[in-house]
Amino acid sequence: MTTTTSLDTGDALAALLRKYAVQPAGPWRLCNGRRPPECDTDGVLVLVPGWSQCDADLPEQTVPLRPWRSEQRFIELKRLVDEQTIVPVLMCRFACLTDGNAMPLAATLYREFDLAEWLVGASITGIYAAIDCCRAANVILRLSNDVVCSVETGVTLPPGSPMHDRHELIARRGVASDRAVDTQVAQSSISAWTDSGTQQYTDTDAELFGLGQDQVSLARSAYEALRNPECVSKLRAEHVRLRQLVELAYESDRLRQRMAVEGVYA
Amino acid sequence: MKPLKIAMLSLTHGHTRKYFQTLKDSPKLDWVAACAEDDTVERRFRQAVEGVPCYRDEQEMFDRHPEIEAAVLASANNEHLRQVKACVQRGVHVLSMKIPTFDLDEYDQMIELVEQAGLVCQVELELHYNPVVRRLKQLVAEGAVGRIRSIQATNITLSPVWAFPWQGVPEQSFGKRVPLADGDGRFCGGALCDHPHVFDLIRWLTHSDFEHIYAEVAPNIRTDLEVEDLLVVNGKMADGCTFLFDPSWSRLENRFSEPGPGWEIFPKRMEVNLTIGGENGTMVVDCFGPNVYHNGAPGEPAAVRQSFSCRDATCPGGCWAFQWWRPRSRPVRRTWLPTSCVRTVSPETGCGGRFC
Repeated sequence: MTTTTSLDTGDALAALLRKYAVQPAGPWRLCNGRRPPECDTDGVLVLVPGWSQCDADLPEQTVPLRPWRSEQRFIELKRLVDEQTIVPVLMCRFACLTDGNAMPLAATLYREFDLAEWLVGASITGIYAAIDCCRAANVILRLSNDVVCSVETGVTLPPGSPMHDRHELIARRGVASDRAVDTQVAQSSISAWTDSGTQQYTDTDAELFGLGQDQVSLARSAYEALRNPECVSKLRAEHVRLRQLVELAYESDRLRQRMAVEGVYA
Repeated sequence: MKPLKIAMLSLTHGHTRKYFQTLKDSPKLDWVAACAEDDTVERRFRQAVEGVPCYRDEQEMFDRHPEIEAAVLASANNEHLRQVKACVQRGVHVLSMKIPTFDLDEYDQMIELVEQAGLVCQVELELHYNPVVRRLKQLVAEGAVGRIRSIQATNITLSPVWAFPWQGVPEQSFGKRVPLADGDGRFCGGALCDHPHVFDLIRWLTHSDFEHIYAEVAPNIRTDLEVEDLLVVNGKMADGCTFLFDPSWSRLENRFSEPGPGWEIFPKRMEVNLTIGGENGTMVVDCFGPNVYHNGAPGEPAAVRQSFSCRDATCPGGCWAFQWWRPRSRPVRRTWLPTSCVRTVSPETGCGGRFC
């Protein structure tokens, strides 16, 4: 089994803010569930993963975070593209499977669409989706720089299963992936076979040691939002756009048509 | 049982060399002759195989060896119909490399020819004899994940065109020169023509036909090819199961004229991976794993070498290549889909129901 943590993400974020003497503009609360608590009317800034709001209007004072952008493997993939270590990117292959409880199908599309635009550095211009009810979505994206991106998502994992994902960038010179060559599943930093069973540990952040990967990236992205309050309005605007892209995917499936995306990614 | 007397034609297909050992070693086969397409192919054959006469003319080979009972068509796609006719005229069973043809009229001719002659004609779709796929089929049949709702698959490789040039020539691979799309300088005949297996596998696993298909072609990795090398395909089956398939030549290679150590730049030359999403669970499948790894090739930091075996003691040849079956309908073939195009596939339109 993969270990989980009982550490509180909000406490870890607070400690991080104290450590670097960051003074948020006002009271805040970090939520990592699918719904934020009913606390958005008392002037408290509510920080939530954006995907948790992808089927609802965004309440006032809510900041939709994109935690994956703070995850080290994605930061490294982006760096490989930005520094032109792999160049030019021509195709991407993304996959994301969940149990549907932690992250529903629409949320997986929200996440992967944002990763596509962010990693490639171009906006989505076309979507064609084949979706099976609420279980699986197989989507082909075209980006403004002509990159083609396949997005395979599903919520068919058994309840309680950790997310299973994979991201590969294929360029004319080089390939980059967050999975080792010839593997399909994530590797752990430590695997321990002991009298108490099999345990796996993956720790990627010494400063937030003890948090799980999802908590680390959530805390990191919330820290950046609190440190740079001017980005909040941009986060909210981009959230709206991502929601529209997800809706277009469902529309594509319904109409069985390629959907053109209007507007340019800011 | 008397060994089957077998011949091999053309020797220009990328899978040709994989047959050499089986044809030599299997006690159920008697490899009596081969026919090479040109000087280079003949020279390579003679370096690799001893004791099997090699001809340059199929007619001469058949005339000198009337005992031939079966032939492997290890040739370019546009040679298949002619070679099937030649075999049928002599009562010779056929094992054709995939794809037999992309021309549906040619397919009809092939089926009619072999059925009228009472001959066996098999298309090389090796995943049918892959042990991982066999296990997958068994698990699906046992209901391990329930009814399949989604299949995602890769069948990706390096590009074979430098060693097997016909695969980069639209007329030889696709059968004719058809632009990918208006204004696109490339033509049908590349990666998609090379990797048909997953289409077959999806139908085999779901017991459902293709309802609609969509494809997008990316800019080529290899800008000097006139056929596509990067694309993805998605769509739905008639039972609502969705699929997404990547058949690309997305692994770079050194441009060797003959496959060998150091051919690959990306460490892994080939993979067929699947994710099966069902009503009750998910399976992730590596059809050609596990593997072994080495870094002994010249100029190569690391490489993957397949370590699976498709040998099957129950089959006549002791190898997947010789599990003969007689097609009841057209062999597997596909309809090419240009960039950004959706096509509905149905028996009513004459485009569906003919896969096997």
